[in-house]
Amino acid sequence: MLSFRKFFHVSIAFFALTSVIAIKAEGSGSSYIDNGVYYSDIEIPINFEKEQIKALESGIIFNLELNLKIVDIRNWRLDRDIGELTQVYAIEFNAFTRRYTVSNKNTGRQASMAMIREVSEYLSAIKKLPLVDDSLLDLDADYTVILDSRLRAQGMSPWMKTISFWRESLDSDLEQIQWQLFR
Amino acid sequence: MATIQIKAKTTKRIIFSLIFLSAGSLLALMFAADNPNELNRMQSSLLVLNILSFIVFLIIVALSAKNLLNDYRKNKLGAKLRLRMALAFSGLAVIPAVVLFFFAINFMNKGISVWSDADVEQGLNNALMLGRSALDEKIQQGLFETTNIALQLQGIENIDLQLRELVQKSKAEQLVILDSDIQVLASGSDQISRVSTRIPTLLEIEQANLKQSWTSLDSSPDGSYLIRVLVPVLSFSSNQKPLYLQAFFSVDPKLSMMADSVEETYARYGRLNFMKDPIQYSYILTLAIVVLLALLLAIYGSIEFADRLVKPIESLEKEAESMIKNPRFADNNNSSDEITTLVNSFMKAQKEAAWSDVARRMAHEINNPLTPIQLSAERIKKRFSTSTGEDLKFITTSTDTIVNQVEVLREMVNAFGKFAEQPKLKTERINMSKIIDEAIGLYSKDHKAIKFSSKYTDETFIHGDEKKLRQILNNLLKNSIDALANIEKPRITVATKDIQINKTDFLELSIEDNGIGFSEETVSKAFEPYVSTKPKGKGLGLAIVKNIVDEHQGHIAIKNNPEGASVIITIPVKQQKQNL
Repeated sequence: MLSFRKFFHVSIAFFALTSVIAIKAEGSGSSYIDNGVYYSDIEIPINFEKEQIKALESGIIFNLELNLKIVDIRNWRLDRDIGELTQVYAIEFNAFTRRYTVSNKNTGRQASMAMIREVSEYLSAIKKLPLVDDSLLDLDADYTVILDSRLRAQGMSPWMKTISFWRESLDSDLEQIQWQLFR
Repeated sequence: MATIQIKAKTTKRIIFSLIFLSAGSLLALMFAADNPNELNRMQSSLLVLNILSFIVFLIIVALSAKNLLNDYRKNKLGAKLRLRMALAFSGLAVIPAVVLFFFAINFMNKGISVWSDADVEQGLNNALMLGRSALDEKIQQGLFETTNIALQLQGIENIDLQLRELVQKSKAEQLVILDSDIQVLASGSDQISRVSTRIPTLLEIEQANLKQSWTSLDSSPDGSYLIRVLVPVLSFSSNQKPLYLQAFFSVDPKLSMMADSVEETYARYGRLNFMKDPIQYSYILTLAIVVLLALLLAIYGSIEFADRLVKPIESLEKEAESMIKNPRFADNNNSSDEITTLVNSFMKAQKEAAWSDVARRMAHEINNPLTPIQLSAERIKKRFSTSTGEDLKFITTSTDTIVNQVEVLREMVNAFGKFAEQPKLKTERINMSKIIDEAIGLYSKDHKAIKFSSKYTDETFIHGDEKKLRQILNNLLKNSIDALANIEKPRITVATKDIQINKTDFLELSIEDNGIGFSEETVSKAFEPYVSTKPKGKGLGLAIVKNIVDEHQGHIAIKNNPEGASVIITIPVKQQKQNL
């Protein structure tokens, strides 16, 4: 019979563990300046669902869209958009090579991976993403970078996605991440 | 009433618009569904449009059905028949549509299930394996060559130069030296642009460390394939990070193309297989919408059709009611469909039957007292024949007037009696030319101012009742003579012509005069009893003629000419057996 004290301790341990997982699952971002250009290192938890892996292995291509917005957040006034950048990664599975290929649609760079876990790890840590030129920014403004990320299955019309209501959605929106663009 | 008509018109406009809209969108949907791999973007909106059409149709049909049921509950005239007909027609439409729907779905499902045929999948897998096996030897050759190059690189200081030389000597497209942090230390390449972006992952480095080699087959965006080999290189000093040599080898373009083709087919098959269920549901939904729209249209059409079909029967009842109130109720229905014609014929028959009955009763009731009146008048005359002077004159004039008027009444009663007689034809082969000649001869003696003429062949024989045919001629000639009063240069022409209608021989008899003609009002009711334009006419002449023509299974028509009028009669030359 589980005593109250034991139950309490187990509960605390469970909550602590789940909290750690939750913290770990959250994304983060940071920016730094290098030769007059601001770069960002981004960590976003990308986990492919079973249905998404099945779709990938069935030949459906997925796009990971990262939309970065630099906003000047002002008190008592509307925020001012400084610039916007969209980075798109195409993920596809080649049945002949049995490998996943991740292509950066902006730069054309490709990476080839044998396992979906590698793909997740590769996309979860994006390093040195060029963001904005220092000359475009005001000295005394307080800038925030807002990142909206989403994973979308390509080659399927919205109707086909709607009518596939009984299974897990192939599209997923990731949690929005914000960080200060420190100068 | 006007509001109801406007509403009905609006409903019809909505229905026609919906039919066109749905037909158009269904056609678009059909073409959109031609590409199951990526169904047209418009498909969602087209389906929504059709679902909206379906909802509007459903409301209209529900309202029509509700009206019909209300009429039925209120025992409105014709509602029961309308309901039965609507149910029958709807049933006729619904049953085949539902059967067709399920058969279509069954066939469609069978067609789609062919996509995921296990044999096809196995065949494609085998093709992929075969392709990979064909490249296994190349991969082993690449591994052997890369390992040799790695051995040659040990202890060499000018590694960049050495790499370029080794690339030229070997079959490799590119040779790269990397450290364990995946930093490129040196590179020697022939085609840098194609392979420079390929960097091993940490996992691959780990694998290369663990197994002393790592190989992979990579695809390029241009559809070609590359063999990638990663082997560790012995470090130059113990403090240095572990180094790795990555080599790229190209695959024969022909083999690459075939491998790409197999992979593309496999991927297309995989996509179709993955989307099989949604495509199937999409088709079923589209088909269901088409069938439901067609069914609703059929049900609405059934209700409308039943309504239109029953309307003349309702008007029959209304006319019958009106006739009870007014026997001379005007026939204003100008509709020309079969049911209306049938109803009109029925109404006419009812009217004629009613008139026959009236005539028979009148003849009976009037005829009975006439003989006692006449005999009494003659007795009075005889009794007072011995009187003299003014008394005798008074008695004689009065009794003569009574006797003469009784004769007039008797004639009228006889005429009614003839009208009421049941058709009993005594047919025989008769020469119409002779009858016409005799009739003209009879009337021309008394009306010398009128110019009589006839146009016919010498011997025109038909089967008919001679007495009744003579009566036709007499009545029509009398009418013509009356119409020619006060006409300058009066003339009457009687003509016959042999004609054929539906391979049956007919005799066409026409009597034409240049008299005053028929008024517009008379033309429509000319054959009804009591219709006459003459001041002293009984209005039975043309009615009797019509009866006789009907008895002979003929047809009669009247028409006004630029001068005067014509009566045209067509009678079959041979009578049907039942009338003989």
